[in-house]
Amino acid sequence: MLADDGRRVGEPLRAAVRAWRDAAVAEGPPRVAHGLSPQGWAAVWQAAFDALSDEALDAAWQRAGSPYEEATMVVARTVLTAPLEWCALWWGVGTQVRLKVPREAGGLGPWLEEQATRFGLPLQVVTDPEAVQGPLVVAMGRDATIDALAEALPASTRFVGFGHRFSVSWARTEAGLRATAADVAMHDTRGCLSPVAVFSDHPQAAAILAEAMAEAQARWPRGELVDHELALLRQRRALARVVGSVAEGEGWAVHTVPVGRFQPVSAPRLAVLHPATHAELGVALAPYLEHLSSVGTDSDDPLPGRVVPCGQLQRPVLARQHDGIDWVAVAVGADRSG
Amino acid sequence: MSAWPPALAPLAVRVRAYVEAALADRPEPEPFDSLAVAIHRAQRALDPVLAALAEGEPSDALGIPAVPVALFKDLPVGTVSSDEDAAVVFRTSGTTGGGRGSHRLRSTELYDLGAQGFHRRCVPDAPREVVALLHDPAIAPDSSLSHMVAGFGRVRWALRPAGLDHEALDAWVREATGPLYVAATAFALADWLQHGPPVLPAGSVVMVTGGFKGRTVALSDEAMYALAQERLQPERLVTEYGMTELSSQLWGRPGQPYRAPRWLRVVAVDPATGRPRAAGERGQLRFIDLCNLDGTLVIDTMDEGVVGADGEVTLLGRLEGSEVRGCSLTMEDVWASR
Repeated sequence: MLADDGRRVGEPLRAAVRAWRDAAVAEGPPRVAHGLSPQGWAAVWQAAFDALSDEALDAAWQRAGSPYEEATMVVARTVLTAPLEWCALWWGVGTQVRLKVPREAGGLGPWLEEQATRFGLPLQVVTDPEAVQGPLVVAMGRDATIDALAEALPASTRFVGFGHRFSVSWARTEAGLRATAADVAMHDTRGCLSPVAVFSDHPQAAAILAEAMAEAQARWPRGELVDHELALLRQRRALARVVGSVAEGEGWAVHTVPVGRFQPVSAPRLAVLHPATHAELGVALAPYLEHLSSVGTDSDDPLPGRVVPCGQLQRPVLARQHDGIDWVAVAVGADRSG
Repeated sequence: MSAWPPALAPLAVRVRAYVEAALADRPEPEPFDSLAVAIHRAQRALDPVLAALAEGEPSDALGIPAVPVALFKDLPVGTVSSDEDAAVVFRTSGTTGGGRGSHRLRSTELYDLGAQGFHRRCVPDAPREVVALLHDPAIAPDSSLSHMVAGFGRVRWALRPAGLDHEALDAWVREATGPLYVAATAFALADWLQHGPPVLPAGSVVMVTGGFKGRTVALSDEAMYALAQERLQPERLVTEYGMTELSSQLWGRPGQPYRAPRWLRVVAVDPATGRPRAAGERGQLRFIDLCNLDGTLVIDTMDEGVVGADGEVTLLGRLEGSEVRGCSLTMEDVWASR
């Protein structure tokens, strides 16, 4: 089916999205700079496409209200797989996608461009900042970048920005702690859904986490770290040695640190364990709530942010609030009148 | 009466003798390593942070545990346990996020002996009329840089709480009857240069220190030096590298390596292991400062550099990858939002 201007819309496009997804899973992840080990990158890739099931895509597309004719996504150097789900939804409602990637580090941009050509999906990949325009601009990056874009874009452009965020875990059971180790390991703890800290009142939490972190390392070895990350790990280790304790192995570490020393900042494959009560967790998070993305938990305790089961932090479902925003509604124009 | 307790007083005498010998180009009164190990033993007994990091008995300076510079923001590092016990407290600016670190001193005697003596050696015959683009120590007693510059001569301070006083600066230059010594941070100097300052009197010296970390406006070092030469036309342009947490400084010329005094050993280490790298190899910079009797002897920075066989230091900037990888929050993000 073709629209008046020649764009394909409706079921043929959605079928093309499904074909693209199936090929991406079958062919495996492309070679792009990501810093993860091959096993780690494969796990991240699989998780990204698991979210794009037929049911999830159909449910999202069925919400389509008045889709944007075109949308621009600004992808910072630090963002890896996020464009996949946005492109999938936009394409399925006939939106022409423009992906603005950094000139020196295009991430998945070149691969997506090649795939779009292969499957007939509407995508243009650009590096020129002047190309950031149109009725809808979505950006991911540092808060300062988001603020600058919000200021620069005209009022006629709808701008949705997602700054850097952090996530944590509140794990009270052995199963929850073991699942949390996978959340810490995936993306090598660099993502906004990576738990920067694990809060727990389980008496054996450190030992359980250490065992699970070692298992995660065996399954998905840690990727390459840059010098700053290596120095940061030694720095965090020194702090833990002074105020708490350290358990570590090749490619992983568990630092047990008093809850009063919570920092909402991650280091690769480092599980920072804060023995804490639920009340202490609340006190620790309170100063940083504006930056909190998600909390993984195995409990029914009331928690701030987006709450998901332990082990599912890094496997976000399509229909979710992204930093408090119904992003699916934005993508398919469900919150927009024609 | 000595400012130091019995455990440190004899060491202060030994450090003073070492520094005086170095400044007079005499042979060291004792080996660097034996003095460093003696200082470390005394510091370890007085500093619980250092004691927690210690592993065994070091036989030389390279075996002494290094304290990561970031720990100064988290913990009371050093042999002076509280501000009340210190004669002077120098504090970091906090521009790299995570709050301000403290360097507490019982006495500035060793600090002043080394800083002033090595400055005279590296910038011989420097004008004694000083114009400082810095805070007056009377209003910023915790600035180690202002403290050092106060010893350079008769100083007029141009940095006010509201910013640089361009009018006063320009007037001081125009009214000068002899050469001036201009002491500035890179950021303040760039600010002044962009306001079109008058040409300095003949024989003047410009000293630049620090970079643009945490600032929104930045010039490359080369661009700033060229602009300073063109607009101020000093007879000499010198560069200084110092840190609040250290008591000694390095001096250089634009485009040339820094020189460290004999009582400050600089080592490039492997950021993963902390082990020293061979001369000429790039690595994470570590300082072993004998004048840091009240603080801590060995400090790991987050800077990268090359230390030549002759001990000269080429500073390369922040460690590779200090720009965040992934979309997780950074401490800079947290502090920027406060």
